Amino acid sequence: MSRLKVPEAFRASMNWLHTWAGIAVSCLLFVIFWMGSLSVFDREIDQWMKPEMRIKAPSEPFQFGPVFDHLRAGDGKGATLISILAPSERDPFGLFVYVMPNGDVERGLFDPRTNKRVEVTESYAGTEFFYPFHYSLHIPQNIGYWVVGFSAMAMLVLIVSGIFIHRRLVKDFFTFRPNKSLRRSTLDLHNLSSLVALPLHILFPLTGLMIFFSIYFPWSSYVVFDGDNALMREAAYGRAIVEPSGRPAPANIDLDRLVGEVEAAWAMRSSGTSPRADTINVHLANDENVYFRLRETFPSRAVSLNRNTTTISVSNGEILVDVDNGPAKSAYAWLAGAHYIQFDNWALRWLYFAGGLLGSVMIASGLMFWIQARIRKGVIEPRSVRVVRTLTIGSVTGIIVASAAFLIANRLLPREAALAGFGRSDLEVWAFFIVWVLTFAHAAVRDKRAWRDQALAIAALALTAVGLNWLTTGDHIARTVNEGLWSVAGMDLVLIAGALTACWFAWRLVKTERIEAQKRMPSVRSEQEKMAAE
Amino acid sequence: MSLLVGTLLFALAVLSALLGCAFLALSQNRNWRDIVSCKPSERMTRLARMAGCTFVFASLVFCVIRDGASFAALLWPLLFATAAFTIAMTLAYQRGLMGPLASALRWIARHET
Repeated sequence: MSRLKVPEAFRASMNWLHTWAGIAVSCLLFVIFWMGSLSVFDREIDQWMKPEMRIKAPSEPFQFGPVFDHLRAGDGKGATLISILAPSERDPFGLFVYVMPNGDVERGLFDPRTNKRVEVTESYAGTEFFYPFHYSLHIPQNIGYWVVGFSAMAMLVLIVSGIFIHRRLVKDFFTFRPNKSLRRSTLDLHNLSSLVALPLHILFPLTGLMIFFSIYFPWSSYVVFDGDNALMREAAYGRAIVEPSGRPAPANIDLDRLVGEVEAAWAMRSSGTSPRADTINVHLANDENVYFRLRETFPSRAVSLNRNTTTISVSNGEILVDVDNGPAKSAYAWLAGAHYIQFDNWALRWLYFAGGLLGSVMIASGLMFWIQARIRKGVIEPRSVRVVRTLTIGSVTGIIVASAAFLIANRLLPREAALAGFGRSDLEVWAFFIVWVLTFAHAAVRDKRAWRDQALAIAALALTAVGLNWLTTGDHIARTVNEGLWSVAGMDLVLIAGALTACWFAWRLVKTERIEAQKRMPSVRSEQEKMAAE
Repeated sequence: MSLLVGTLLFALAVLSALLGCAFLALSQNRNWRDIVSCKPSERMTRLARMAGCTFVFASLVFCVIRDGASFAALLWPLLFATAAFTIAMTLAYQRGLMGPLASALRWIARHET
């Protein structure tokens, strides 16, 4: 049972595939996994980087009506579409978007305690930098989606080929031998981190691919709906087509009464649960034919997304569209929800973070094993090893250094910072990319010593970020814990834990290098003796 | 479900997963030899494997009771992965911590009729 009966020729071909496909995409995969791991706590990163958001989420249920009335009478007067995203436990501020008749789009955050717009520190932070980096690499024109999709597909190939080349799947399940050679211990770590989370390493790329099916297979929905775009939008997203009447909308719209009725209808068919709408899109907001689409996009107590979507006319209460979640759509909603992780389950959220890091360890140790396997073959390192090592260090420790630099730039830049036409949030992104490029250059110059240097840099930068947070906001760990601001306290504690781990990693590297050097001494001496004899 | 009950169930799920992985690790000859310094008997291996599977299954049950099947389908594999990785690291750096579990298995094997 512990040994897969695989023909040797097939195993050899799988080994070739695993090795070279791994070398081709692993650096990119690490970046995607690292950004995915950070995205698990994107809202918490937002609160750390935008100190104005450090408030406790309101405990009473949110009402859309007052915010809608405020927008309709104020800045959003005359808007054709008003969208409101409710605040949540992880998102203390709500989001509004409105579209003016000339096509101008305005978006902003509102405080649910006052229903008024709030200005926060300008930063892309977690939700607009780390999170999109995970799925699009910030490459425009959908190219990033395709690159990430290709990497996800390659990861599935790597997982399957990895299963076939592993000779002792069960025997090696709990095996990690740090005191063996670096080559052996990196392979152990690679096998261990792959095997223990094997179903998850399949689930993450698979669900990621499924989420963007409409980009990878744009024609699929057209085939199902015979090219009828409107029908597809209605069935999939609950979008209705209503013509404006040209007459003004009623002065007072009791949005909350209608929302309550829709939620009650949802509760009737949801067997015991109490669905709460989290998104509303009010269309033709200033026309007599005003209607809204109400969605439960991210249910707090369910994995599945978009459990309920209903579009209703405001004037007569007629239901225009009520999306039917059939078996296929429900299965998709669960799989997509398993990747989006928007539910309110803190234990699971931390485990996702651990799972993401485990995937990162798997990729990094795989690359390190490739390098170590080639170093053994000769005294002088081949150029390919030096190139792969440079790329690996830049992609692994380099991106962590750059992420820490991004946080530090956020705390150091003045509120109104601007340079050469770039705003504050752009300057933070520049800091990230400049530091990231520098880590590659550093890796090329310092060679394998760059591992240790960058690990120490991570430790120093992470602790600096914690210190700067304290200095610039006054929120030290004792205070945030005392005030129950766990998002900020958690960020600081993770940064400190990361710094300690990086220090430990650097210490282990130094120790292992010394042992390896001592082991190599006799063979180097014998090589020198041979050369002298010749 | 109250916060206290939820926390308690999660703690039980974590503990069960850790114990399950620890017993499964002990059911492997190499790990048993590293800890007890002798070859395990067939019976001991079977007992460790049975205890491991029982605790791992118990962690699944606690996950289902706490969050329902939909969440447990994610919670349990993640919990298992984290527990297995933790046990592998314990075996690598602090294998002495596994000694009491091996002793418990030997005690059960001795008193098993």
